[in-house]
Order: sequence, then C-alpha cells, then structure tokens
Amino acid sequence: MSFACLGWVIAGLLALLLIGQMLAATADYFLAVDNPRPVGERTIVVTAKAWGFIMQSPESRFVSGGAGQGLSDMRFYATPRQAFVALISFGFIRPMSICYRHHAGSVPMGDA
Amino acid sequence: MARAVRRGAGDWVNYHGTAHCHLADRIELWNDDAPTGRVLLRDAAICIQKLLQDARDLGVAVRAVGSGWSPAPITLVPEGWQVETPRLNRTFRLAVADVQPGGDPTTLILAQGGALVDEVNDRVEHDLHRSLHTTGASNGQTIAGACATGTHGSVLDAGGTQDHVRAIQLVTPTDIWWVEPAAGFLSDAFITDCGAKPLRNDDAFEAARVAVGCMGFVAAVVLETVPRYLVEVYQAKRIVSHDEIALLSDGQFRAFSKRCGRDEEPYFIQVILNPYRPDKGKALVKLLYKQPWRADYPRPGPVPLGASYDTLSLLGDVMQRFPFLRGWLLQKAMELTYPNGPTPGEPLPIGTWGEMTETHTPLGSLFNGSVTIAREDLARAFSTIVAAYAAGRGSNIMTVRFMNKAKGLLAPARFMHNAVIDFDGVRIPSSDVAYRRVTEALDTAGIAYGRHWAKTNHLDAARVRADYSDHLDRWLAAQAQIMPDATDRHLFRNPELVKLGLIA
Repeated sequence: MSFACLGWVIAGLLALLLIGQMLAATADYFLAVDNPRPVGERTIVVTAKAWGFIMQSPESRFVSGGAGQGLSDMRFYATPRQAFVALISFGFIRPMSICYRHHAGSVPMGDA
Repeated sequence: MARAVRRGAGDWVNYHGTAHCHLADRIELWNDDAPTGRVLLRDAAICIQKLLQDARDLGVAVRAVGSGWSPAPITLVPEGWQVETPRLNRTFRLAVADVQPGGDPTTLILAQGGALVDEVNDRVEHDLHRSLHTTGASNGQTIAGACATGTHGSVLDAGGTQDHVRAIQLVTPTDIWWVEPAAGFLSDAFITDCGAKPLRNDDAFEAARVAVGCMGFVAAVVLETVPRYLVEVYQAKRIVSHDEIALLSDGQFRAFSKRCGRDEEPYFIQVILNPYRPDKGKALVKLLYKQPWRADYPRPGPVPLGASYDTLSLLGDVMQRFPFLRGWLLQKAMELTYPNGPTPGEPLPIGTWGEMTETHTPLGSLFNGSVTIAREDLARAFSTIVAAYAAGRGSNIMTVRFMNKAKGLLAPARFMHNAVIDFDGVRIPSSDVAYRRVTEALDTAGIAYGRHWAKTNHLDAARVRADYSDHLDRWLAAQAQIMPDATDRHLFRNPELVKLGLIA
C-alpha cells in the first residue's frame, strides 16, 4: 500500500471519527426522580468556551419559577446544530441544551 | 386558600412541540393546605372563578391547560390567559354521606382536574387498592384533559378514560356546578360544602364528559374504579396476515391470541404495523392478559432504552430527504423497540394497570393523527388506509387498537365496537399529507370514521356537524345550560374551537 493510499485511509477514519462524535453528541441524557410529576417544561442553553475553561456563571443560569418545587426531570443534549458548532470550532465553543421540568408535588390521598 | 401565581406574558409551546402562541399571561394555580377535600375544592373553585370574572371583565380569553399534551392547537389561547392546572393535583376518598343513598364510596376517587393520569393510577392502586378500567398508553396527561378529549387505550371491553367519570365539578364566571346524571350521584350536602350547585341532567353530564375545554373550567372529577387486577404482557414481532386482520375485525380476539400462542381471551390488543410493508414486515404485537390481583408479583423495572428527541428528529429528517428508505427505516426503527417474543417457559412481565402505562419523556415535534372506524369495517378499510398512507409518503408507524363505544356526546369512538388507527411518529410535512390522504380515501370509500379531538385532525365546523349531528345539538344545548350567558361561553374561545364550531 502506498503512503498516499494509507493517508486516505487514515483521513477517512478520522472523518468517520468526527462524524461519530458529532452524532453521539446529540444523544439524550435523561434524569428523573422516582415517580415524576412534571410540570412546566423549559429549555436553557449553556455554552462552554475554551474547552470548558470559560463557563457561563451559574447565577445567570438559575432556573425560573421553581422555588419551593424542586425538579422532576432534566434532559441534557446537543441539537445537531450545536454539535456542528462544537465540531467546526474544534470544541472551543460547546453549547449544550438543558431541558428541565419542575415537580408538581405529590400528596397522599386525603379525605373529602 | 388556593392562589393564582401570575408568570406574565410570553411564548408557550405545547408538550409535543406541535403548537405555540404568545400569551398575555401565564397563570399557575396552587393549592394551599385545607382540612378537608371539600374545603380545598371550594377554595380552588373560588380562586378560579375570580380569575374567570377578571378575564371576562377585561374581555380576555382564558384556557385551562394541564400537561399541554394535546398535539392539536385546542389549548392555545393567543394573547389570552393560560391557566395551568397541574398543581391542582390532590385526590380524596369520599364517605357514605358524600354520595346519594345506596352509593358505594369505596369504589370512588375524587381527583382535582390537574392530577396526572399516573398520579390517579398511583392513588387508586396504592390507597384505594383498586384499579382504573382503562386509560391511554401514556400517563402524563391530566385527568381532566384526558377525559375532555376522549383519550382511550385498547382495552377490549372498555371505552375511553371519560367512562370512569361519575360527576364533574365545573367552574364558570357565574356558577360553580357539580354536573351529574339526572338520577344524581353526590349528596346535596357535599355539593353545598364544595360551594357548588348540582346540575343533574343526563345531556349536560354526557356533554361535560367530553367537554373539549368548552364547558367551563373542569376543577375536579369523581371517578369510579374497578377491583384491583394485574395484567400479563405479551410482546412479539410477527407477521400479521390479512386473515388475522379479518379475525380482529370480526372481534375474534381469542382466536388472534391463539395464533400468538396463547388460547386465552386477551384484555388488550395493540398491533403496530409498517404501512409500507403491512403483510411482509414484522408487526409489533402487544397483548395484555388480565390476572387476579396478588401481592407477590415481580415488580416491573424501568424501561431501559428508548429513542428520544434527537433520534426521532434525525430519523424524520432522513426519511424526508431519502423517501426510498422510508419503508426500511420504519421497519428497523419499529423492530428496535420490541423483543422478538417471549422465550418458551419464561414468565411474562406482569404488573398493575398503572405500572403498564408509560411514563412519557418529552419528544420533539411529534405527529399524531388517528381515525376511529367501526371495528367490522377494519377488514375492508385496511387496504384503503394503507394504500392512501403510502401514496401520501407518510413516515409514521400505524397502530391498530380496539375499544367499545365511549361515553360522552362528542366521543370520537361512537361505534358500538371501534378500531382506532393511529399514525404516530415524527412531524414532517409528509406525515400530514399522508394523514389527509387517509381521511380522503375513507370518505371516498364511504367508510364512516371519527377523529381524536386532541390530535391532528383537519376538522372544521361543517365536518363536526356532519359527524355528530344531533349529538352536537345536544352538546351545544348543554353548554348553554351550563353557561347561559353567552359572554361566559365566549370566555373559553380560541381560534381552533371557533373553527370547529364548538364555541361562538
């Protein structure tokens, strides 16, 4: 096998590796409390810059409207567009969507 | 005292991401502590009524929204007030004195309208030690929303979720009603304690069972339950032949079950087909068998895997761009979700009805459309439906389910025995085109059918009138009885309901 051919094979493998990474980035990670009672879905986008050295401050990411409720579930994922942005910026810009729902509360049955 | 928390103006998108609008105000309703259920219901009704009166005075439209589950835009209230109910989710036992003489309160659950179906299942099974007879496959809808839209499952001897309802508490700007059959159900004392008045009228009750959000604000319902039971779950991938579709059309469910390897009357049947390979690709068959309750059954674990938001989006995108791959992709996507079939000798999964319904995770831009036909028409309609769907290049799976005639004047399952054909999956333009082709083909073939209020349905006022005729007249008369003042009725308007002719 010539060096040129080997080079193309390696380049192809690297391209597949990148495509695989980009597709995998769109996977959902879903976390829920036992017996969820979800209410009020909202989505925020958090962007890591400089490979995670610069993060948006947590204060600006407080979820709204959930005081006293707690969270029922959360979902982390990147949209194909977000994954693409991370890819073409060499990971310098890494946006991630966080989708969350509050817990509506769960009270035992009472007497009428 | 219950309270309303105003979250202000903003954009809102429904649960499945299929409809959105800008709201003038989004208002959350919250319960507060109350010594008894009746006090809590009275406080909540007063709070709701005050909101409705304020909106009426300002000329603003109001819609109650539970989980926002309906893919159809029936919950949207552009530039109006959206009143959110999921925190009104308490449930209560009734006592002998709370019902009419001779009534058995031990079979009943009183639930606020915002309680999720999952929550009602939990309370019925764990606290009442009973079961619901049927519900839809998913359990994230509020009980008021599920009933108001005629949501159903595939229990062979049951109708819709609304069939459980025995009394409904409705709040309007002018009145607080407990709507019941003419024979009565709740005691006068209980109704008075709730700060309400009785409206005992069969038509009003049957109208309010499937209210489509047009009969006032559903604050609470009383549901009748059945003795607790378990269901064994059979799931398998197998070819479903035309002969077997004919068996199902004839109601020979036991014979169908026998072909799946079990000579027993099933409780529930669901067949998921690929419309591009209806008799060549393997269908996903699910049968539930009712078993007596026992405490020592092995508890089912959580479902380990599922295709979710972006997987579905990706799949839809691929199918839209590469239409020649549709049949193959649908088949592969379907088969990934089901086991091949039970291993001989291996016990089937078993659980309560509530445990067998699915905790739904959010999906992006889902398409849901359905047609409900008389079950005996299934054999002749099947080829028509499949051909029309394929011609429209739809990209969704086709689910066939069965149910009896459902209660409620506007229940879409209006035939004595019904076959419900759902088209569920990704929302891309061809999904809608294919669904429309199906409805046109059924019209051309002269096959009568109903359409789900909460799903994509392409209904308009003329079609609703044609489908429901005298039932619609009785429903509108009941609406005028519940809300005699036209201004009150007008309060619950939105563009979709006006288009359907359900509200002026």
